[in-house]
Amino acid sequence: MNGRLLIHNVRHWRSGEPFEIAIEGGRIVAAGAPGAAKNGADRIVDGGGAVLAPGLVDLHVHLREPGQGTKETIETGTRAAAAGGFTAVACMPNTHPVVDNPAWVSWIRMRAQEGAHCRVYPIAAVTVGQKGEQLAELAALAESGAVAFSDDGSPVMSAEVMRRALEYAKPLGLPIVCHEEDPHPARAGSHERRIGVGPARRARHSARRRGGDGAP
Amino acid sequence: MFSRHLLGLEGMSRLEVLDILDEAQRFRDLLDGPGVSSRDLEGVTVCNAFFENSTRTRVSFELAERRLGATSVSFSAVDSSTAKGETLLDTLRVIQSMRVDLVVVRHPSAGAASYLTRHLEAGVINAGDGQHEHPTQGLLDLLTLRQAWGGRFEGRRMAIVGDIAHSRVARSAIHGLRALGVTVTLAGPPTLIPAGIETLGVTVAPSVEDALRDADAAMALRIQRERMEQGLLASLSEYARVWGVNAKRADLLRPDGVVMHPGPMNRGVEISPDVADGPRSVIFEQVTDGVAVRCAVLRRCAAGMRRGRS
Repeated sequence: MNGRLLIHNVRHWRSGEPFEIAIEGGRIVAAGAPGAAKNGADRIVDGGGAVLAPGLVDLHVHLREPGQGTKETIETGTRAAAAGGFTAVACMPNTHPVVDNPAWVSWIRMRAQEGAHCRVYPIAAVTVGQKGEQLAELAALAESGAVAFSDDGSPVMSAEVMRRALEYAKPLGLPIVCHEEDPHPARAGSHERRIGVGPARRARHSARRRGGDGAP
Repeated sequence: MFSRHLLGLEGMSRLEVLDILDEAQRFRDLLDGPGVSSRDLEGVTVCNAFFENSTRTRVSFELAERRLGATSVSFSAVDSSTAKGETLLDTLRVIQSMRVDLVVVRHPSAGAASYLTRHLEAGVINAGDGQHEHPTQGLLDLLTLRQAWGGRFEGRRMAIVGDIAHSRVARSAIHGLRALGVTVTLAGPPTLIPAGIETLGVTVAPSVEDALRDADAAMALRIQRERMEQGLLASLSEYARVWGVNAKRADLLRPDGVVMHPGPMNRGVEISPDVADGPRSVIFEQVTDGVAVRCAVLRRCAAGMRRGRS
């Protein structure tokens, strides 16, 4: 991008005040109240009163690939991210199959290179299949490009496994991201208990409400 | 001055260690001679009591005993009365009642050998107690290094790589090496490095490369499959890739640096086959040195026994 670009008629992302910036050689060279950065502009973009912010980063998104392309894809998810001002996202590994081996990390990065609308940073699973039992090959996952480890919505329930994971990941210099939730109390919620429907029966319960036969 | 027991290398003085090594070296030289045997242990009765599986240590002790002319018997837990519910102490009291002078004991519990010394008249040689110590292994490692290093220990640096947490081999080696002024660097997955190990006078390196670089010797410890079931490791292949002693890493050692392994080896896991069989490997020297060290230890404990009686 040659020359000096002025972006004006925008609002500062924190203060909300009218704002403008000038960019040259990929760097912000001037910024301030309207008029402060306008000198010498080769190109001008009218922001139409939108908010101007640094590229936002979302550390917890679900791009649903591999395996759940009917819900979302790397392409659609990153398109939405870019539309909202996000220039980078870190995607969770609770896909089908789970991103617990280097092949899937590489695959996500390859797919992202082919057609993502923002940068994609894969987060890999802590344990094999997100089952909370056997440590995944964290070193191999790191080498293939994982930026962090998480079992996300299937939290590592064993404190021992979590401790081992933290120790094991230490020399890799990558964080373990925790989804803090104990799913056990929710397995038989107050509504289910009142009406006498256990978690395994929930599907049938729903079917009955929809008019299915629901025979026990 | 000789004790009739050998329980561990912790607390052993430099002079005592060197003394045992001198004696072991004499036996080592004899082992290379034709048809060597001595009568140092003539009239001494030894029982090798193994409450945990062992091949090399047991065979090594048995050969040392025979070389020295001892009368020796061995039993292992699987075919002993422990399977019938007898306690460790009762089993060994029974053995002692058969007038045994020395007991070589291996047991899965740390402190087992020490416990026996409080209740038996016989001399007790620890052949491995839980994850605590394996003093004859530590001494044989030192004997191998003595030869590899031309007798000079001071200023040398030794790297020990792998499962430090569960290793009696590492603990005995650390005590022996520290007694002789060797700098010891450990490396391994943090799940297998015990917290506070620095209190033994060692440092922990962040990677196997850091540990091996410019060291005078490296010891790869055996990795056990059950460490994965315990959630301490992801997989053997990942272990090999991140912590295994392979040719590229062994070349970080000083030019004459040697590679050791206490055995049994998992080739391709903690050590690559080319290193195990390569010019730096002294793994089979360690085994020969083991017999020599056990000769020396048996002779000293027998001497300690006789003094105790007179």
